[in-house]
Amino acid sequence: MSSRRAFLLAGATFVAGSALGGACGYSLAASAGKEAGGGDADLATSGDAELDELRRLAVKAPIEELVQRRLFFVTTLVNAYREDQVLWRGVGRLCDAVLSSVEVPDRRLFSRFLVQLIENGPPGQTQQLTPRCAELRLVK
Amino acid sequence: MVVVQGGTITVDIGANDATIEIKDGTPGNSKTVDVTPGKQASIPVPPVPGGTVLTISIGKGARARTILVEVISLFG
Repeated sequence: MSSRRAFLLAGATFVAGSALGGACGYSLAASAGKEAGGGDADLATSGDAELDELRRLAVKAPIEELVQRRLFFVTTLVNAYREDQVLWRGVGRLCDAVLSSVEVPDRRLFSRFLVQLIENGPPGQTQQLTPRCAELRLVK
Repeated sequence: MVVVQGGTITVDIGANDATIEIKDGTPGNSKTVDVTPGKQASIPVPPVPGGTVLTISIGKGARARTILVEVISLFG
């Protein structure tokens, strides 16, 4: 095989590999984002900067950030966006954090607050969270 | 923070804060109290059942500071 042909073959293989790798990487990242609840549809701009930020916290931000800003998140949800389905998914993530090994300051008090929040929330949004209340009440 | 029914809640007020908002979790049930900026304020605990967690927001808007307070009953 001439060196020119070998060079062309190697180049074509590189281009094909890059295209395939890029496509696979995009596909994996997109599916991982959906599994984490961070689909683009949830984060489409609403025209309300505060709501957009809360939605980002709810579904896309690292759990440590959501936990750190939990009081801002839940009080703003209650005060202004009680019916927003995406934000209630953030409450679900907070429930997971309280019930797992994630560091949550005042864990017991916050778990009682989450129970109260879920029980007083709109039934349509909190239906999936209600079964977690029994577990949350047991947090010491 | 834990307080008893019928007691008072003491909070530090920032130099630019003039109000406190207290919520007991029930939709639409909130109480706003005027306070003196830069001092401590003592607020009576609202009449709520034991086990209720109150949300106390000091100040307004994005600068508001929020604390949770659990109300306990001394008589079970």
